[in-house]
Amino acid sequence: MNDILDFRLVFTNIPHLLKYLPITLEIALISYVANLIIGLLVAIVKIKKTRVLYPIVSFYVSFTRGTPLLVQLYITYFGIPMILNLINYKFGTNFSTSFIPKIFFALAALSLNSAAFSSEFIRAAIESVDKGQLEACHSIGMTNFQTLRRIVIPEALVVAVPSLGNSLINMIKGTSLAFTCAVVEITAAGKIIASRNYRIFESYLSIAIIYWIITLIISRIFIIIEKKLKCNEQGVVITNDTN
Amino acid sequence: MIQIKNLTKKFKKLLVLDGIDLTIEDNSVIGIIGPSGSGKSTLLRCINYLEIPDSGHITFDTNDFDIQKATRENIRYMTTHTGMVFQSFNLFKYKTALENITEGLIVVQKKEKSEAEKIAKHYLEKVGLIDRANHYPNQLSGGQQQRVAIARALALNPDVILFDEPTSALDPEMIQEVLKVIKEVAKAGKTMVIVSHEMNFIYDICDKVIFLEDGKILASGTPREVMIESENERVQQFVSKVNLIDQYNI
Ligand SMILES: Nc1ncnc2c1ncn2[C@@H]1O[C@H](COP(=O)(O)OP(=O)(O)OP(=O)(O)O)[C@@H](O)[C@H]1O
Ligand SMILES: [Mg+2]
Repeated sequence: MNDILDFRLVFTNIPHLLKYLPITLEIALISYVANLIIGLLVAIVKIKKTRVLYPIVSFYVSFTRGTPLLVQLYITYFGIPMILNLINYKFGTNFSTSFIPKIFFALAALSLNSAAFSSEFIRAAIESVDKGQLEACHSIGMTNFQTLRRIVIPEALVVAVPSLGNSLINMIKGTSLAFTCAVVEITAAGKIIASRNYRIFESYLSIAIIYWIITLIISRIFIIIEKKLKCNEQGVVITNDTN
Repeated sequence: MIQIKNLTKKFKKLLVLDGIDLTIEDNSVIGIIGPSGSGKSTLLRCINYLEIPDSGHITFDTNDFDIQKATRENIRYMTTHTGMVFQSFNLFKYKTALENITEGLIVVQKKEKSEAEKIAKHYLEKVGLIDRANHYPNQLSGGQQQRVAIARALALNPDVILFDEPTSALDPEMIQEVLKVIKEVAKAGKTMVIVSHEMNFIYDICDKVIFLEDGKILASGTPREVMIESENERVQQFVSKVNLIDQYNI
């Protein structure tokens, strides 16, 4: 029995793997924030149909959504150094490729990949804001930027919370591919353990449990946020009942 | 005082405002009447630049400009010196009544929060809703929402307030409470322009009435001159028709 499945190992692996949790979270959170910023900018370009940027952005979204993340990671990992070398060769510059931290490639690929998807739900959320709200902002003299910051983003956020949660969960899971850029996070650490003790299945089971717990926690947090943001809508029901 | 000369506005090929001349004297109340689609809303929206007019000339106190050569500052002057009350209220839905009013005071006029709240409460008092200060829009009736919207416009102390059919979206029993508030504002000497189908109300509170059709002013003068004595056939027809409908409503 012990030879087929070592259950204890599944759990004793976990503390060791958790040492790499900070790396996983670091990659996930940085990429997530970058993804939201890029996604917002892309969404604004798509809404405003900005002349030069619009076709570029459309190409980026279409390409990113149409290719696997794993392939994109390899493309950034090998592509960025190659582009730098090419620039060095053409212009006689001297950019060094070996000094770029490995984690940078993972961050770039993950954030660019997920921004292509986020831009769509961010755009939908922004467009869901009632036009009357924008006209009210204009009528009290707010600038476009003030309108975006004070009214549009907060209102769009309420609509976007479930998608924002999904996006973060996907990002956490996406970090498991960072090993392709030679970054050691939870999954890579698990692979290393497995290659030492040949307990491959147990290792992956431990990894799975960790991801599952993280994503469970995240979904709980987002459900709570959603409830909080919607509380004034529920407030109506309560006050109408008591009145 | 606002002086508008030869204002035109097209939507694609549709000429919606065709050479409008309009003078809005300080402390006067101007009513705009006319059939649906005649360009009443568009005229108001051009005055505060929710729509960008195509041509004409505007003189608004020190802000004197040709529409085709309007600068950012010219336009900013128009938006910050006019206020608007919409048919559908357009209160910020995740802000309380009080916050709806303080928003512009804090963000646009850069007032301290405490001062903004003091001003907001003063105007909530005026529209009779101080006890609803912490309610969200969806906790208020349509009439109450519109009164908050009026307080929001008043609080910023614009030179002119533009009302676009402020009671059209209201249930009949709420129309009077809103008209009463508007009438008080008018009596206090606020300059305003009102688009409304409430003919009795327009007749009652306006100093001047203009009749708009197909983007042109067909008649202009005192309420009596336009709504009773006008020789223009179209105007006569419109006014009698509307009065008739009003009577059926009662
Ligand atoms: N954003 C727009 N794009 C295209 N056409 C528009 C737009 N806004 C208004 N119009 C057209 O301009 C004309 C005037 O519209 P406007 O809303 O100013 O009329 P109105 O007098 O306010 O009518 P109502 O009494 O029904 O409110 C109408 O024919 C309308 O269809
Ligand atoms: Mg209208």
